[in-house]
Amino acid sequence: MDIGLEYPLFDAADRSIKHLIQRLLKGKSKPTNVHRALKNISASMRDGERIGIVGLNGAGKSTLLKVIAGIYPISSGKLSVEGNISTLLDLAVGMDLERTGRENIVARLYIMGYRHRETAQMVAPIVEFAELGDFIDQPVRTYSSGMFVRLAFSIAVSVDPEILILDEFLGAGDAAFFSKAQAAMDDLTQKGKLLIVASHSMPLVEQKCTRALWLNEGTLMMDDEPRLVVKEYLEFCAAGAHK
Amino acid sequence: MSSFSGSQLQSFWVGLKMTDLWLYFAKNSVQSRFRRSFLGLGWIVLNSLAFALGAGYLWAQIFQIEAREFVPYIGLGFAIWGFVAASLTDGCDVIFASSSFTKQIRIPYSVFITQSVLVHFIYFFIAFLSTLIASYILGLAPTLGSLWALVGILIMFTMSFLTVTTLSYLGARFRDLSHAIGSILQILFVMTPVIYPAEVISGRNLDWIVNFNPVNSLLEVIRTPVIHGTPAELYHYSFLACITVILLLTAMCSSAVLGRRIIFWL
Repeated sequence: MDIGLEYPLFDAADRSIKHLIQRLLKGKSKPTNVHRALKNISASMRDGERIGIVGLNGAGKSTLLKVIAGIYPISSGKLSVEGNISTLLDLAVGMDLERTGRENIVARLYIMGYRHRETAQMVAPIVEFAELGDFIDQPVRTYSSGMFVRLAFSIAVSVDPEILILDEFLGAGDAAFFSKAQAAMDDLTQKGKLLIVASHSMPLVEQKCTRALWLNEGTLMMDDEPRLVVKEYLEFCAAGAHK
Repeated sequence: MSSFSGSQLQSFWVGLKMTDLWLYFAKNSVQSRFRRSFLGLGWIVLNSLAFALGAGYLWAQIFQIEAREFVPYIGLGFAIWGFVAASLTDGCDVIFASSSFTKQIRIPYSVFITQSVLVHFIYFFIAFLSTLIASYILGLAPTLGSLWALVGILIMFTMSFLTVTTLSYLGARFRDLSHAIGSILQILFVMTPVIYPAEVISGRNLDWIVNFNPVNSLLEVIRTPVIHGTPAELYHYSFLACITVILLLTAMCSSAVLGRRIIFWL
């Protein structure tokens, strides 16, 4: 991978036909603000790795995850991804609040490309993993944020992905589920799957990841052992705070 | 999943093949529209029958036409217009509305486009069947030639699908497109013989209004077989074929050109 990503930032006025006509008539063209979200990032990630991505807010962590997941197209460079991907990027997104947890599981499985007959036997293990009790048959709008995490994470790990991409996911889950989730992630990587996680939890990155990437303003600052990366990153944060 | 990295048209095709997904979405959207309603889809039957019978009888008197002919005329006209207008207006927002999914998981936009057109088609088909049954009860005789209506319906579905494809991509970029389409449809409704007989405007130097109006041709290729048991004039089929080719090209262009960057506009 050696990828760059630029995208235009539109404000509401840019998006109308009125604006387009104005531009055509008056020849007045306000250059659209282009944001370079990722700058020449080069890395390769292999089976069995657990990669932690750290960085300040707005550093490009989520953008990088979305690029790997194929949601954002890259503007330059080359990206090659092999294997099916399961993502957990934003918890509430893609859930129908009026439908029950069970129905949302089925919906998510369809979205991931499973066929009707395959989904039938996949639902039970997910329900079991989520441990939501009777709430699994209640509309999702009645869920607490922790229950959301349980449901979304259970689906993401249970589809047996080759690549699992997680973004700041476990914040709202309780301790019991947290350790269960970690066990599930260990299990995945032992089976030779690739795990990519963006996190602000330094203990998680240090203890659970085999490698860490530090992004700052779209640039890859460091790509090394988690211990070393976290140390450098925390020193950088401390220096920034003193300024 | 790696096949998504291919071109936009490829990804469009992948989406079309995800039948279980768009069927599920379509079912969901029909269900949520009628959730907790007593009659459910029965409302569409009632709605179209009320219009076809009420307006059909009234206008049949005004235009001195037999109600047996005018009830299917106006009922089918209402159903076809409803489908075209609703699928086009909704079409502008399809991709924009799908952002809660597409920002999280890679799903081809064609899934949402198909779902949207399909939902409106289901409503159309219910209205179509109820009008048909009412007309047969009133004494209209079904013949083998009536089956030509199915060809017309197929053309209508294809054209709407292609138009919605183009509109959905453009509508994600230009958020006021649905308002513009709304205004255009309003003018078009007046200029199209949906609820009045086409003869009313013929011979008044207004022939171009019906001759170069794709919606009018769509009405012809579905209504004529049902009411007269014969295919519509060849002119309408060839006119629609030309328009369909143009629509296909615009749809392919918009998806190929806009498809890649569209995620940043959502």
